[in-house]
Amino acid sequence: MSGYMESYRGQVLTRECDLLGHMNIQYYGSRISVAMCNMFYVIGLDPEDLKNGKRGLAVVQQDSRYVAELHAGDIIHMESAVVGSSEKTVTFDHRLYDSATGALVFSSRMTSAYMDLESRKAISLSNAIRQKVNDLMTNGEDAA
Amino acid sequence: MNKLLSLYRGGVEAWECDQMRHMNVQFYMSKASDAFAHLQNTLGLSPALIRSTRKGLRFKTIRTQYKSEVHVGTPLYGLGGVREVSGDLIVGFIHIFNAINDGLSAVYEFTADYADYDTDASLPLPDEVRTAAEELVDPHTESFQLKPFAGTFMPDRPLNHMFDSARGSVDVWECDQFDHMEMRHIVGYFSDAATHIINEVGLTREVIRSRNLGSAALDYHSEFHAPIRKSTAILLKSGLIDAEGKLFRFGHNLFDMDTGKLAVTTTVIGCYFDMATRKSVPIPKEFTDYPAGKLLKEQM
Repeated sequence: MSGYMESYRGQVLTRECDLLGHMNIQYYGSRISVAMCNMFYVIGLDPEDLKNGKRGLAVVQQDSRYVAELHAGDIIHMESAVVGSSEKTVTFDHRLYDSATGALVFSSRMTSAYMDLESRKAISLSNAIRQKVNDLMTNGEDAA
Repeated sequence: MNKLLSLYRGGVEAWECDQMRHMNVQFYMSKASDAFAHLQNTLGLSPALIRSTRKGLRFKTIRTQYKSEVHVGTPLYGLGGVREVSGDLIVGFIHIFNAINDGLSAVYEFTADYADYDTDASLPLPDEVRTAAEELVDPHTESFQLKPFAGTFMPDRPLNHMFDSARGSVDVWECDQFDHMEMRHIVGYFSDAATHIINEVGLTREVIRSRNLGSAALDYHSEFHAPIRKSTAILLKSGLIDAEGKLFRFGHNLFDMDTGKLAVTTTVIGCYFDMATRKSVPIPKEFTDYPAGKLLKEQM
């Protein structure tokens, strides 16, 4: 998929599965959290700023689709892309796949606001991040 | 055919960092376990097949070397491959990299056998797995090559002067789908033992903090003799092998108290570092003052 890049690769742990015998929804979110660790870097968010609590991205909207269930021991990977932006936000599209079958199991479109972590307010994207976001921008609908 | 496989991608979460302000060893292991699951799939052992046959690969030995610390928010990726098929053992590696600078953060060199996860019996490698592994065999001379482990490995028997360093029972949430304790939690016990070792040589956390010291594992060699199952009572016994200059070495024996059998033997090389400069420093004198007669090296 053009514009999408691998952002996570791992597996489903037994303790992440609930009484229905499949991975509980909270752990889909944990994979996005890890994937964003990579996407922060990709869009140029300075790891030192993140580590020192100066700047960060916080989710303000998320639309998810659970396509297929996952079981303990399944191997999975996520591909992510930048699909939109505004003055203060970046929108990512995340797609989680069953690595053994290649099947899409989950997708989530997520808009995050760029935050000053001291004032706890959304601020304008830096020029460097805006440039990277524009360079990476892809049309998530076309890539579906 | 690309024989260097992409096996892991993720990052360091805040709750994976310990009081040394870097990712704890047990979370390196969890990422290596993720990578191992992907390697199994590449060898034809898909999760569905493993679930249906209840058989698959398991680690027999792991040599782990920690090359550079990683901190919260660091993106990581893992590469790996097969170096050799030796009899019924697969000899492979997993390397964990810091994605910001492509620096090598941790090295796992392992041997793995094919096992029945219910009976624990070691089985011959299935033909299709052997074929897949042999097609992947490559010395990977372009990748980092470990030097031989410095010093003797812990013997797989009890030694005098080993002390209790961790004790517990295996919780359900520490186990995989076959009721075996996950590798991450085994390494977690070794991590917990570090503080008890500090106490044994006469140090306290307060003294360590007052000297602005942190400790880090540099090199592990582990041998897995038997899986540890859900609800098992376990006891870790540890001892100082020796301590000199900037390095100390200690050994762990992890016992399954239900059977009395030794489940894991591990030899560790570690160092102390300045928490501000993050550079290694000479080991505290309490280590070098430890009675020579109690050093495990006398029995090895």
